[in-house]
Order: sequence, then structure tokens, then C-alpha cells
Amino acid sequence: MKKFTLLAALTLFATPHLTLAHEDHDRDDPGRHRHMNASEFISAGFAAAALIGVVGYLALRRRGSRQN
Amino acid sequence: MCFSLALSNIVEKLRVPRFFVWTLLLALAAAVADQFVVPALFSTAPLCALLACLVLATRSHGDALTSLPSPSAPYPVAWRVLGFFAAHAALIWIVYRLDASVSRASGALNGVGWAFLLVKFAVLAPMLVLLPWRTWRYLARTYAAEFAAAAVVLVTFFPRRVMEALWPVYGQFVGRCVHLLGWPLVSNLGYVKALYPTLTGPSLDVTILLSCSGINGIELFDALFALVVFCEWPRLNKRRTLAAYFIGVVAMTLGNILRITSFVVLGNHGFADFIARFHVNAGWLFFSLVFLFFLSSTYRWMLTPSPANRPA
Repeated sequence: MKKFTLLAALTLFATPHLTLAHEDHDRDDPGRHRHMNASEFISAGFAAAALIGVVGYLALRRRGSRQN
Repeated sequence: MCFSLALSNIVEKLRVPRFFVWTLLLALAAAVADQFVVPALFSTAPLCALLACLVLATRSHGDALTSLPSPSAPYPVAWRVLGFFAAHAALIWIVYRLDASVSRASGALNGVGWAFLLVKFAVLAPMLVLLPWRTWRYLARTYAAEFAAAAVVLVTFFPRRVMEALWPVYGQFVGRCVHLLGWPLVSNLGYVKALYPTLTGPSLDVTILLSCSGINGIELFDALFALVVFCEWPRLNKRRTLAAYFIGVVAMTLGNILRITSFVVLGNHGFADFIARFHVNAGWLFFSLVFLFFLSSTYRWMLTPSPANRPA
């Protein structure tokens, strides 16, 4: 449960919040093609990489506790 | 009112001397307030350092409570708190009185900018007034590892400024290393020396920008390593953990050189479009894999207790 909470919190934290600001701008023109800018791209990349790192760490920790 | 009651309840339950928690919380609140009043003082490093110290102290074994040299007041004494706020007011006044050009140097990479960084760190100094010197010595002995971790956070976390300052030299180092590693694998690989060096190949030229410095990888490493340290703190061998942090930073730096080399090599062997389109995402994936490799190599080593703490 703790691990799940940790993952959920991280996912929420990692959601590129800048996208929300963009959606406000795009609301006037719903049919407009949307795109991410560089900073959002970096946020999303960081989030994905952090998630991989956290999952890897938890797997390593679980394996360590099983061996003990 | 409800918030302060809830905060008091939380502090009561922590296995840390209450005066220490209140001291850190007061220092944190005052540092935040300073930055609101004088935006030129903005820096996340002192805030992160105080938070790291507080969080890690609460994660330590809690034997500090039983080894207190004498009964201490649960809160810092009133006149000390007044002195603490007076010191903060003096700091704010000094920064206000500084010439506007000096305040504008906040974040600049010249001598004034670095000097102003020390002023930003000075928001931590008034904290010393809150407790007697004897108590600080006791805390330094009891929470030596936590203070050391906070110091590491203060000077190394979010190292963008250091990277920008070192870039003229470091950029050339990265460029030369990539050229050296890629040269046997890419025919006619050239090197254009500039502030942002370029590696010229038959199909793809790669310019190494500041954002390719590996700073993102180091920031990712900082965040993930901090998570591991927070979760494992009571079990960690503190000396090895400190060593592992610096080994990890070096590993991410070397990993970044390998990452750029792989882009140069693959980009000049038929994958130019793919590299141009996906190098940012591939970079993040690469950094997370380097971190996992680093962690799987050092995890058990960091958890091994030092001979002094090993059970007989």
C-alpha cells in the first residue's frame, strides 16, 4: 500500500502541470492542433525517467528484503 | 489555530528533541519569508537543506532523546527568538541597502553573483542564535550525519549554476571525449571548437548545447538518490552513502558522454532522423538506466553496516 501511494503521489507530482496553462489558451479554439513546448517535453521526460527509477528501486528493495 | 495545533501534535510524536524541530521549522519559515520580502534572495538550496535535515533527523533512530545531557526547554527561549528575527530583519535591511546592480547580480556568473550566493546562504546563519552553543555542539555530535547530508544538499543539489560556470571548460571536455570515443566508429568525424562544440559527421552534425551537459541527468539522479536516502536512512552506512553520491554524479556525467557518443555514432549510420526526433526521450531513458545500473551496483554496499555498528 505504501509503495502504491508513493507511486501515485509521484505520478501526480510528475504530471506536466504546464499543459493545464496551455489548455486554457487553447480553450478559445477547441479544434486547434495542440503541441507541447520544450519545457513540457522535459517535464514529461523527467517524470517518465523518475518513474522508471522509482520502480527499479522498489524492485531492488523487494529483492533485497526477500534475500534477507 | 488548527494548523498550529496539528503541527504541535506532529512535533510531539516525532522522535527528535522538540527544540530542534522547532528551531528547524522556525528557520525554514523565516527563510521562506525572507525570499518573499526580498525576491533577490530566492534560492531553493537553503530550504531544501533545512528540509533534508529535518526529515532525516526524524528518520534517525531516535536515541537522541535518551542521551540529552540535561532537560532542555521544548521551545527556543523567547529572547533568542527575538534575536533570531532581529538578525533576519538586519539581513533584509542589508540586502535592501545594497546597490540595485548588486541585487541584480543574483544568479549571474561573475564574482558579484557568487558573492551574492553567500548572502543567500546567510539566511541560515540567524538559526545559530536560537539555541545555546553547548546545545548546538550536542546536536552536531548526535546528528552529525544529518547535518552532513544537509550540507551536501545545500551545495550540490540543483547544480545548474555550477554547470553554467564550468561550461566553457566542461563543454570542451565533453566534446573532446565524444570525438575521441566516436572517431574510430564514424569516418571523417570532425570537431569544431566553440562555446557550443559541434561534431561534424557524414550524415549528422551534433552540436553540444548547455542542455546536453548532463545537467538533467544529474538533477534526475539527485531526486532519485534523495528518495533512496529518505527511505533507507536508518539502515544506511552514512560514509558509504556520501561516497556513493559523488560516485553517482560522476557515473551520470560519464553516462552523458556515452549518450552523446551513441547519438553521434547512430546518427551517422543511418539513424539521423530517428536521433534528431527522439534524442531527448532517449536521453531520459538512458539516464534512468544509468541510475538503475548505479543503484543495483551500490545498493547492498550502501546498506552494509560499518564495523563499529555491526552486531557482535
